[in-house]
Amino acid sequence: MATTKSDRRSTAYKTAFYVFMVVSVIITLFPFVWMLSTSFKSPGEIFTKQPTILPQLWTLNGYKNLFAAVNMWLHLCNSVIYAVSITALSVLFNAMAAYAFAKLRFPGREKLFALLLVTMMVPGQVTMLPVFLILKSLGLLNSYAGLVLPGSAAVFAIFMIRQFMMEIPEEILEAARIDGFSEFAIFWRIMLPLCRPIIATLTVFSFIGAWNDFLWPLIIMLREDKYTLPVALASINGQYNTDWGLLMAGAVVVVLPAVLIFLMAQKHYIKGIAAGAVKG
Amino acid sequence: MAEVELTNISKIFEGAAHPVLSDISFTVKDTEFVSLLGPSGCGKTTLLRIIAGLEEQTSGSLIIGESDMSRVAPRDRDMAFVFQNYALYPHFSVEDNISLGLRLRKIEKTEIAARVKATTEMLGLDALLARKPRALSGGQRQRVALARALVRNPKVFLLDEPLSNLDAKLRDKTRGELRMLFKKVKGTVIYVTHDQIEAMTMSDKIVILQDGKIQQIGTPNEIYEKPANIFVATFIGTPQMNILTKKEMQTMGYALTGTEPSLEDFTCGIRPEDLEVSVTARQGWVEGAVDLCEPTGALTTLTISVPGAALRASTTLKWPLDQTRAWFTFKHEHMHFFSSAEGGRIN
Ligand SMILES: Nc1ncnc2c1ncn2[C@@H]1O[C@H](COP(=O)(O)OP(=O)(O)OP(=O)(O)O)[C@@H](O)[C@H]1O
Ligand SMILES: [Mg+2]
Repeated sequence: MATTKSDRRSTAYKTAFYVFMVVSVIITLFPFVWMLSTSFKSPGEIFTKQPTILPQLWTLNGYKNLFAAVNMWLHLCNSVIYAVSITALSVLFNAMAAYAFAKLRFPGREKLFALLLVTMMVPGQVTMLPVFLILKSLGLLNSYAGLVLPGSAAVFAIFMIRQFMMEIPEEILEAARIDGFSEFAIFWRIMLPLCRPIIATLTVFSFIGAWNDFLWPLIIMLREDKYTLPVALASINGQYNTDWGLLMAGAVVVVLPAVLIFLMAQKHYIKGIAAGAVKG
Repeated sequence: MAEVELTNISKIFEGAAHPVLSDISFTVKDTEFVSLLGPSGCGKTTLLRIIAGLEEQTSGSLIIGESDMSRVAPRDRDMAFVFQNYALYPHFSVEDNISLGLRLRKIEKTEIAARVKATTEMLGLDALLARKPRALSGGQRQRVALARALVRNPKVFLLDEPLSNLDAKLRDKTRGELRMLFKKVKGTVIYVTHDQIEAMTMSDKIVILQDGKIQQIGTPNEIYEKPANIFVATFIGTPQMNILTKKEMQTMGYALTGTEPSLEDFTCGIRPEDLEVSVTARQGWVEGAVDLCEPTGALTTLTISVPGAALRASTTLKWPLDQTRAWFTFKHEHMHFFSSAEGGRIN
């Protein structure tokens, strides 16, 4: 069979598409690869006239220096505590609030929700100082509680989960109510599992957001032993002459967990659910 | 014993001007199968939800067995509800969907297993236990929803148009099965439907609703043979009952026999099958033109026009298709008379 015009057109279209995608991937990945490769280069090679993609001489000195310069394990630990607890708390609280706004009947529900949405218009930088002052007067500076609590509920996430929950048919909850589920069991055993795609998405966002967060931990954690990874890394940068090998090694250590989490959660990302719940 | 007694139940939704239900009173006896029948939007679902406790009545009382249920939470009413869209839990297996209600009630494991087994075998679901609802056909989902209700062995079953999502053939088959099923388990059933065939074939008793008001309560036969008003008369029965005013009867040339109510004005209802038709002229019969002839096998439905009106007649006669004139009369004992003003039944 001869190739028809539309066949040829679609081949051309596909080729263009793939070329575009490959170029995009290269552009996106390049800094990442550069960081990775630099972290394994010797200081001399980093500044050669002709840059190399891969190190000619692989060295772990960057990592060694990094772990010698600061107490990496301590900061890693701080970062994990910060990111994990803020993620766990915020997902739980956001989902609970979203459930109330989506499915429970109470007077003033819509108004309260509108009020909540309005707060999204206030940029974080504006509230940072007042929150800092409040935490200070509560004596929560330099503490994990002070670091985590202000971020343990997020309006945007509440909004997202609520939208998702509103799609879940009311009858499923009513069936559960008749079946004997308690209100909490309905939330925990029916709503949460049904919201898994959106919760997985928000978990990743929240974790990566907290993991990469720099400004807030910098403000709240005044003592060096409470620094999270990004803050610790920044502090090295200031203390010594910039050692690029070390800095890139640090960046790798910071980025790696975030990338891993992202890849792991990928398959849970938004996809059709509730299929089969009601007539299909 | 589980008798359900509704007394003067009314419901006005917040902010609505008109009540969705007004003064609904009826009793469902133990093991009785009662249908709530009415056109779309007449408040059937709302009433069922009030009985289940999913909605609160504005006034009136609901008694089940001996106890007043008006303020009791849905889960403590010991009722099962089959939703129109089945409302299965999408993330649980069929088995979990069926057994969760029992597990939450802290019933012994061995007993749960036995009851789930008995129910699923009865409904032919044993091979599907491990599946998730989305991997089931509509008919299978419907049976899972039914199993979820049956397995609980509740005092009262509440079903909201459970067959409306099935295709016509499956619906016919399931209708009979459901009826036998509930007879077998001696269930007390309140069944919502807008399908008169369902209501007529399945029920011990039918409650006809329109605009949130009860129009008539009775057995299928009572309702068919003695409709309480014009609404019920025309709502039940296909083809629809013919409705003629006294004046129309006179205009078409029908000679009143004297058995009619001696009123200035009345409305007469006559079912299509209660018209006697003939292809030849008969003494005292009314002549009309056949506008439409619809053979359906055993019965043929004729649409006959006469001066001032058109009537439908069902006959077992094999009506010749080229026959355009018809003579007809009414079977006197089957004529229904209603007050033209209020629509209520007179004879
Ligand atoms: N939550 C609600 N708020 C306000 N009005 C409602 C609510 N639920 C139902 N209604 C109204 O009450 C009336 C009766 O509704 P209902 O669902 O009981 O009808 P139905 O008889 O079940 O109809 P169908 O046969 O179409 O299912 C409708 O006019 C509907 O708009
Ligand atoms: Mg309904």
